[in-house]
Amino acid sequence: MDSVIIGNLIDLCAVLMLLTSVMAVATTRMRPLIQLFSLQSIFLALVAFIIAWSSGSHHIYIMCVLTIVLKVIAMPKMLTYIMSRIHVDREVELSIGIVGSLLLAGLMIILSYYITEPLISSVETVERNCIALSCSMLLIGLLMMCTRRKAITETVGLLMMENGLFLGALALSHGMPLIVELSAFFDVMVAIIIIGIFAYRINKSFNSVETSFLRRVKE
Amino acid sequence: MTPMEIIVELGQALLLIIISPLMYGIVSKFKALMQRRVGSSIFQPYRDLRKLFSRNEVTSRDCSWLFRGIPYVCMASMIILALVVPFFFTGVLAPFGDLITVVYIFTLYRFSMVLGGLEGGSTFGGMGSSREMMMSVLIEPALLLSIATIAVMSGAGTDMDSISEAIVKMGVAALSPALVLAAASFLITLLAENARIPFDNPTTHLELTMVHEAMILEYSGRGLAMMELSSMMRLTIFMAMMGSLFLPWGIAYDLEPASLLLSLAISLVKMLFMAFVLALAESILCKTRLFKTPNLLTVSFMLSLLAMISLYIL
Amino acid sequence: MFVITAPDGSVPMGPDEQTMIVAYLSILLIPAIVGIFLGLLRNERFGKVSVGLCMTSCIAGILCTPMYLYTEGFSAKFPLESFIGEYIIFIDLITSIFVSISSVVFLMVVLHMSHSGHGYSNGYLALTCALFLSCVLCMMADSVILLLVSWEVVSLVTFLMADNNDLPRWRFFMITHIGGLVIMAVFGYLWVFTGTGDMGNWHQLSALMDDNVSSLLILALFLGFGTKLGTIPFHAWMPEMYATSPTHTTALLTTVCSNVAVLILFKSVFSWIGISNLISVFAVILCILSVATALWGAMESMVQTGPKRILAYSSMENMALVTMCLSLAMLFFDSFPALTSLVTVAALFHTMNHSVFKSLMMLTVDSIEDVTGERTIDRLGGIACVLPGLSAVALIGAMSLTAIPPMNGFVSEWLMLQALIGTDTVSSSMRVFMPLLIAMMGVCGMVVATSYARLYGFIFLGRPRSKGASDPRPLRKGSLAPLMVLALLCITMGLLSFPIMDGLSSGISDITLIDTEYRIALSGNLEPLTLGILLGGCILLLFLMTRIFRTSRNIDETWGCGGTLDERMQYSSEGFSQPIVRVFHPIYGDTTEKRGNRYVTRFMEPFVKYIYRPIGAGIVTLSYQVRRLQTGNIQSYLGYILITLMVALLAVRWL
Repeated sequence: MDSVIIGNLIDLCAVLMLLTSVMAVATTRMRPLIQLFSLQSIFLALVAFIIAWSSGSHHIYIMCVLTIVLKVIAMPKMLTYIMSRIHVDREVELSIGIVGSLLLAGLMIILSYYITEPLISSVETVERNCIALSCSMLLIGLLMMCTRRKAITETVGLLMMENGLFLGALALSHGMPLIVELSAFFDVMVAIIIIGIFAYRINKSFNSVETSFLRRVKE
Repeated sequence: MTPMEIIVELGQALLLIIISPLMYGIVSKFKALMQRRVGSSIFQPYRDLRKLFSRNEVTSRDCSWLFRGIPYVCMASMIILALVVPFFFTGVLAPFGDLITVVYIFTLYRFSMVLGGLEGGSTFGGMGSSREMMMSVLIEPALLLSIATIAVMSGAGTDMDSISEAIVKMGVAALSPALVLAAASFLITLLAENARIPFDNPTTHLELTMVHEAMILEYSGRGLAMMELSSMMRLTIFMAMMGSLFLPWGIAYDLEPASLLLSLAISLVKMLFMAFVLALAESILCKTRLFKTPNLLTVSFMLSLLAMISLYIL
Repeated sequence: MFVITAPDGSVPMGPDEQTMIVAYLSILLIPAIVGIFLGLLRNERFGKVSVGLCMTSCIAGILCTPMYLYTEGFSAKFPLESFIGEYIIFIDLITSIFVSISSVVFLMVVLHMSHSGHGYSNGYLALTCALFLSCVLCMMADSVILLLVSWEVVSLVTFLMADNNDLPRWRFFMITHIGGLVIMAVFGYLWVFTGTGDMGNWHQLSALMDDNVSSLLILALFLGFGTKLGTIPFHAWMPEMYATSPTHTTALLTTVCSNVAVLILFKSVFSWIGISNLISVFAVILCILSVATALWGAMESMVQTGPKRILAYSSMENMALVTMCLSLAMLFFDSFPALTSLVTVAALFHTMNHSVFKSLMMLTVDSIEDVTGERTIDRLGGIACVLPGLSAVALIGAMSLTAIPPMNGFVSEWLMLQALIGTDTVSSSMRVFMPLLIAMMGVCGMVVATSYARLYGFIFLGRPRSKGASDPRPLRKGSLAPLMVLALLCITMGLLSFPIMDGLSSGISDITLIDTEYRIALSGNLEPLTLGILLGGCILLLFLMTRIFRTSRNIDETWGCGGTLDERMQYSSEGFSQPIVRVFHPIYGDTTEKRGNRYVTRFMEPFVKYIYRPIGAGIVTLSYQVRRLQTGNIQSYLGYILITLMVALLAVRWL
């Protein structure tokens, strides 16, 4: 297939992933947030599929399938389940407002472009353009974790960071070795379970999943 | 510039002016159909305008000369835009078919409309003007950025008559994220600039929600007809820009009758499609609170920023 | 009398030309000097003579560009000697254009001044002559001593001309003198470095200097002149000073003095000091500072209620755009000469435009104050019905300031945007900031548009909000004429902008030694003349068409939901800006409190609160500490002398 089309498609999916991250920054309700995450994972799977197809490396197919199974279906389900167990739907407020966090996200995109610029020119794969995008997704995920108060939204931030990381790995070296990828998936899975349990416990003891309550633990 | 070219260009400007009430009618017809109503005829806007043109005017005694002049300025600025925006033929009449100028002519339109809102000293006019300016502060960067993206991406600069051609000739490579994102941002800008639903409701006269209608509340008769017609033209011009700059495939860039006819048909289909999208958006979205609109406008700004940056990244 | 030489010094000039130049300089300078002395006399008749003399000098100043075209530049040495150098002036193309445009503005302001009802004292008129003289000499100066002396005189004279207020003008005095000291230090350093005060010998000194030093010098110059141009945080004097001093002082200060500052800044950066390799870091800093200034100026201008304060903040914004362009020019200097000339043309053309439309607005505001006696836009309204002529010229000024085609303000903003879009080709690490600059231009442009729609709308449109506004006095005879000239200039400078910019560009290339045409960097084309004619023609055509099918017009009350509207039942200026204030609340940091039956929103200047007040408090505390030294005991004073002497001797020994 034409390499221009492949490049364009990969770029498009990667940019759409970034876009979902940006949209997630602007979303205050949890259900759409989780849907955005699964949308982003679909795009990640698409990127993986296109790369696997164009380069012919089979282990990426496995990663693609794993992404669909775990990140598009299982994890959102689990998060929704936790959400319904602890009866929270709406993020009450962001600490810096939607407009502010959107602008900050824009700044992070520019910053990550500025940082990765020397790196991009040294790599020579078709997918090298995704490096800047994955870096900005990492930063935006972290930003989300900073500005959100509820444990679940913080988890989504973490997952989106993780998506960014996978995109970067795909772009840099056609994915990590399979065993590393598997263990990464497993780690995230465990993390979600633990966070879910914690959120449930926190909710039980404080009647809220606002992590700002955790400050009291210090005393 | 040959006489034939001039005729075609004048023809496209005239067509753009003539179909603008029709587009309005089509959008409301689509909307009515989506709400399972029969709706009024798609030619209703023409009838309204004709009626308004023949009516006597009533103006407030506190209005100055400026108030009477503003409808002319608004109409004239939209006519000039109709002349410079490519619709089905890339050549544009005036030698200043420049994108930045287009943005600033929109500013002229808005500025005069805002001043008109402040005329007469009614409570509604000032309210509409101030809200309009608030939104335009947030629209303007997104509009400028999406246009800059197109200019840079096509490599044709801000010259309107070469942009569409350049993009068509880029082939598949033009379908890059930059174009998609810029088009998305431009779509939101289109909704906001033309006082469409998530930002403003064109059919209501409730002071909690009015923006555009509040500004033209004091006009009547012929003045109102001109203001209405120019705002319809603004919508059509925005749609034509969307069609010829962001989805330029099918546009004619030479003077062959066959390609001109084909391009005319394709452009009309594009307009219909956009009218459908507009009606769909207006049916599934609801008008947001005034102070929630900055969120959506910031998203539009982010989209265009992302478009511009993706040009550099990719 | 004068010693005249051609620009390169080698070719001697013909005697005819020499006489002509001497005659020209005499007409330019001598009437103003005589005007100063006449103004010192008490008799009122002498005041009028001194105004006349000042106008004569202004007219001579306007002729500066024709003089340049006739002689192709010359330098003249004054018949004055001082132990620190000679007084030399030099006229090149860019200087002559700036002198001409400043003189036009000056002439119009003085004309308006002579027709206004303020009854200025003779001393004020003398100061006006002195301001003209010092501004012109400062622009033309080609020796350090003349430059510094005339710059200092500009500051001093404007300080003295702001004669009816105290705290603001002392603040102005302090801040501009700190700036003046910085400028003095820079030029002093250069003088010592080159060993000559004759700036004709200074060419691109940065090639001889350390990169750090030359870049620091440029940074210092930007900050030094920034005190006059209102770069944050040095803008603290501007709003108060503008609002309280006589409008004509303000009009001259914001237009002519800014022209002087920008011109000297431009000449010293691009000709005298020159661009070093290290400049990009400093240019980015300056760019960020300018952007912040522009945003802050635009935002603050939108919430002020005093017309002069609105204009003050908008001056800040305009000048910040100019300094932004100059810093971009430094950034592109090495790699993209065409872009450099494009942004410098944009900067200098914008400066010229600014001086025209800002003086127009200032004089309008003065006329409004004169006829209504009101000083805030909250108590005005409906003037357009009674004074249509004034409202028409003011509309042209407001439209220029809002950058609406085909006025002159539009063309310069168009150029700036072209430059920013054209930056795509520039080095990859810098261009990523360009989208931000484009967005900034968009936000600034629209906020300024809001602010001028508000200024114009609340002065001229709507219903009168006070007695003065509902029944204004007639306009003073002849006071509209200068405004009309300025408005005409706004339009013609817009329509004929490209010939003017070509002139500017060749003047710029004489200084920067870039021989690339600025038009290469343009990616679109603009023909303001055609655009203007088409726009005017369209409006006329529509008007004629509606004349043919006439309908009648009835006059009635404004619709008030069935009731009658009283004067408080229309939008207030505070309410008008409220939506934007709410959206940008984190930037404004405004507080709203309820007072009686109305809510009052207060804005504070964070720079005054967090920078100036602490510094002031610190100095006061320090002085209290120092006062402890003053024991009043003669022995201890002698002791201080002894210690100082010892330290000084030791210093001499060690150095």
